Amino acid sequence: MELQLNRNRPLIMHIDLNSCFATCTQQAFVHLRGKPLVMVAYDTPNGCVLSPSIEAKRFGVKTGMTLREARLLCPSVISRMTDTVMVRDVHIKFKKIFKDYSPNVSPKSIDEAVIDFSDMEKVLKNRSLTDIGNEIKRRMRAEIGEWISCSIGISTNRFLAKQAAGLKKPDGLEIITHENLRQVMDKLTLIDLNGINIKFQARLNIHGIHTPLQFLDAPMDKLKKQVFQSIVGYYWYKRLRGWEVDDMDFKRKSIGQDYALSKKTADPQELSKILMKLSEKMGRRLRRHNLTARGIHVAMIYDDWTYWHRARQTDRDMFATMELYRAAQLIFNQQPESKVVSKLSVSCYDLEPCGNSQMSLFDAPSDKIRKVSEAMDKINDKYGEFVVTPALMMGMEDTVIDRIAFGAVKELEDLYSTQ
Amino acid sequence: MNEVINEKVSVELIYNRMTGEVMPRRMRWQGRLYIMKKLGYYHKARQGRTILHIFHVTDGNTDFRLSLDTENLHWTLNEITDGTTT
Repeated sequence: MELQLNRNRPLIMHIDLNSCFATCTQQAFVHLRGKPLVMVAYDTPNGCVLSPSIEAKRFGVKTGMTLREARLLCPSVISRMTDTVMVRDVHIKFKKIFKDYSPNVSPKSIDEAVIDFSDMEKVLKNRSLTDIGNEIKRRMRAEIGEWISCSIGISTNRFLAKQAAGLKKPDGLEIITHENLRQVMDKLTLIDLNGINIKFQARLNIHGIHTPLQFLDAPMDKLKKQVFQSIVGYYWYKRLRGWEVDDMDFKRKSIGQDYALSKKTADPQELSKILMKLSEKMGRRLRRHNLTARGIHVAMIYDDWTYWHRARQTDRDMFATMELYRAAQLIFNQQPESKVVSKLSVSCYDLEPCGNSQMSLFDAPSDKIRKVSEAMDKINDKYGEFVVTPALMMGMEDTVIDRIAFGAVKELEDLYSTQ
Repeated sequence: MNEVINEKVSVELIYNRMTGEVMPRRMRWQGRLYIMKKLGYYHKARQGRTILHIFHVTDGNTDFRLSLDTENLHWTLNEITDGTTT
């Protein structure tokens, strides 16, 4: 049986801060306002553009370009590194505003959040969501800063609300309902749909689907059995019709850190130091959540764009930085050949609450290592990150600096836990 | 032009009980007096257990990032920018 379009009142609001990192920087530094600005990972010609300002976007500057490419498009572009503490502060402030309207606020990333107004109709008292959206915009300007702008999308599910938020940038407020869904879809391409990348687009094209309208009109059986050949097809069938399928909360399965090397190297000593710092950052997060890990994974992207990774389960739980580092170093040493590394990642998985693990009869020294780690954490909590570090991390102050991960809802949980 | 400074400076702070506004009004740095006209952004930051109050202010010509260390109530000028590329 064919599923109808969702004709319910649109009660999902998606809010997206425009050019978040750049806008926050322009809010703080008045003289950067109205100028083409790019926030970069490294302030070097090969540094990656993380966030261009609205003014830089007008010159065609996009996220992912190198600073050199951005300067070719816009010679007067100003480059800055992100003030991560300030951006996180903006996130906390806007989340606080959203919480005034509904208890169901789900941050999607550092610059995006969804407010769910379902079951809130009594509180809304016939107030339209457009009215609330405009009020949120006003409050963000008044309470965070006058340069802060956001795009708001309203619809019946998360997917269409996000799609609506992307219709008009910057500073838009758009609604997608069953009445205008077809008109909106008619103006988009498949790649404009959130979650459809070039691979999915090719897959849809193979089955004769070339436009979002054709995607919307495709029968469920075709999407499920032919195009996606899985339940994913059914989810898309529902999603496009405005029914909710993305209201899911995933349990944390791993904790990881990665680092794109500013100076690529094949030197095992140098790489071991980076591995140590990544293990320390990962260990801090693991211990903050009071978890232990039973598995470790190390991955490397080399300068020639080849990739090597390996995971290993350990026979006992890891908790201390030294335990994580030792396991990671063992995997690192198994690399088939020593090549120039451009990106190094380490993560731990099979997470268990601390205390559930069985103590080893024969390995008492591990208890000492854990106590040392806990003592170091206490000192670092009191006096600041990396005040006390393992000796291997000496001289690493400017390496693996603090970053804000793209997406990464779990990172936001770390942020709230430290507030 | 953007420059990291990290130098101790003398600062005069005002508090308006009616509006709740708190803002560094005057700053003396390297013998020169700067009168602040606008607060761009204020936030707190942590250095271990020490709380720092970070003020982004401008005197109309240059933007300043000032921090107040609550441990010793000392002011530091962290960086300056005038919004030009050179």
